[in-house]
Amino acid sequence: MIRVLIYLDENSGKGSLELIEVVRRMYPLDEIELCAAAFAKPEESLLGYFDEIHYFQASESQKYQARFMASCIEKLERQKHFSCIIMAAVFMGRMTAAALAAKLGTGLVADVVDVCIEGGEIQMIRPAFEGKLMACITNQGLGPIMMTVRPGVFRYDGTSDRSTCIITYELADEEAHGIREKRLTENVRNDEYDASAGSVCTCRKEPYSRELCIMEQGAKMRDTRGGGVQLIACTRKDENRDICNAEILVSGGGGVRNHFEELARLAKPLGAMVSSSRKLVDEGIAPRSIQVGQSGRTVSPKLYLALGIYGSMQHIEGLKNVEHIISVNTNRNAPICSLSEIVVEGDAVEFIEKLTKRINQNKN
Amino acid sequence: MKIVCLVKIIPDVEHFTYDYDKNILVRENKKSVVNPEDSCAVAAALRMKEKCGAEVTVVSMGPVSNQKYLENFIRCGADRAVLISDEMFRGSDTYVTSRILAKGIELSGFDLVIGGTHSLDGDTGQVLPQVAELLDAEIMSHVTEIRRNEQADRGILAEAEDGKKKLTFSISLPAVIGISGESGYKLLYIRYDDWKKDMSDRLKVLTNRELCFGEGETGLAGSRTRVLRTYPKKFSDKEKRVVQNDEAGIEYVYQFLLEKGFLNDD
Repeated sequence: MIRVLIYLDENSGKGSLELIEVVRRMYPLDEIELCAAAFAKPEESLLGYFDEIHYFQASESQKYQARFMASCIEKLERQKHFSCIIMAAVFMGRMTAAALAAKLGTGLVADVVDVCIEGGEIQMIRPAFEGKLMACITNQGLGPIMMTVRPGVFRYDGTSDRSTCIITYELADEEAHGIREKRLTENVRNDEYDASAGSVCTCRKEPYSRELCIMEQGAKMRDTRGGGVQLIACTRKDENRDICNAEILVSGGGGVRNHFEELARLAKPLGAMVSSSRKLVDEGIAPRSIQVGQSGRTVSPKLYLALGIYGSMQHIEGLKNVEHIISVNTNRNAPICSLSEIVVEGDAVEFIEKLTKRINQNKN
Repeated sequence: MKIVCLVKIIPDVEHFTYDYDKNILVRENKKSVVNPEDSCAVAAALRMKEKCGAEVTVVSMGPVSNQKYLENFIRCGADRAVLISDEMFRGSDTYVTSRILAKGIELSGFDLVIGGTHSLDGDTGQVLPQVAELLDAEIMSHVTEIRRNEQADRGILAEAEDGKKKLTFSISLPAVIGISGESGYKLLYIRYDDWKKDMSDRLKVLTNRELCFGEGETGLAGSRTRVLRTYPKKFSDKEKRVVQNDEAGIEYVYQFLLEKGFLNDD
């Protein structure tokens, strides 16, 4: 039986489901056991997508202890022997995946943007050198294939007809850094099968069961450390909305370096957000939080207005699911132009002025 | 406190050479730079040294020609530098690299390891957490500020950023900390008098003679991942329309926005 484990990132919510698309490209979904590991209570909306959700009841601090989370998943791996473990390449996902791969002595490929199978071998594709190169990588280790996947690249539109069993692990004795083991089983299998479907469970409402386990880990085990990270405070940064959620982005590059604030003028009537290329971030003109590209954010707006952006590979890497790109550039052969539906040949600052005027003219 | 800074000398991403046959980077004799976030990490370590006293060792892995970069860190205020260099280590993936670095760090002795969260070239962000795992130390990345925890006997306080969240942690030592480029830590310029100073006596080169890895444990052979092939990224040309930045061109864009529903007529 092929088993695959997906790590459910607390902050990604349903976004974790896009990882199932990665699984789908590697294995026949209806023949495998799909498991998930969560450290926060799994949302109801995730039920039906997995056969098992292993929920480790972590404290707020434990959710930031990458090595602790890795040891929970390691324990799971020792029981279940996954063929593949997939995590989102996000803050804790990256750290936890790396710590876990080191524990298991297996290979880990970061920031995967595509997977394929060639000669029966699973190959993972990732950008390197700021996206100038794409690298095709295989796992050489004996352990499971491990990867972190760049968020926002994949999309899963499949069904959610699995009968999900949630297995809850109480993590006792946080102070002692141990996980106590005793397997109490509670509420075993409360399935409501759709009788008409025979033994195949097709209904997704409530056919999930819960098990409660208390895991124990010998206090003397090597990986008891990891409990030394304690969360003291968590505040929201005062920041603009997230460019990842924007429907329309007005984005600036080197060609608007002296007039970056002008972008907001055009963004306003379009209801758009302003983003930037790395060049302007490096020059201190724009904050990193609005940087698009491999080292910035992957964005998927419906419309991307690239103003004075050259379109280096690493920038284009961040434009995975953009529906329409309009670029304005004095150089019509800039790489960004080959991705664009409309290329306006000319000065971007002038363009902002003219288009803003045109839009406002119609409004009045 | 003993602080080890992990620094990677990377090919200048604008001008790098890649051996497509062997699937390894050609690092010798090419223009290289210090990975920017690693410079921030050294700056953070030197700040701690200044405030509460610490011994700062810069550790790097790469060809012998990288010595000059490490000497500059000593000129900036680091106490010593260690270059891990051996033909056997060439082509190592993050797993093997982490093992080699961890061994080198263990030999130097450490309470705190600081590095950049990301490198510009590989950008996996994997080495520091793996080093932490191998050294049995705590790990936190994306750290923007780090200082000694006065309340704790052996600990630090670290501010980290996860997207829009600003997090404050108390972390016990030993620990591995990944500094974020957002941190604002900057290395000071080297004093003019120091430029010519010979620092070679404070720089040590470690080879496999000291680290003692077995054959097949390092390099491509020991790696747990293998790069099958690399290729420059290509994008297929989309059907596109080129217009001028004049009235007709603006009108074309305007009508496009209208048609696709990006403008509300009201």
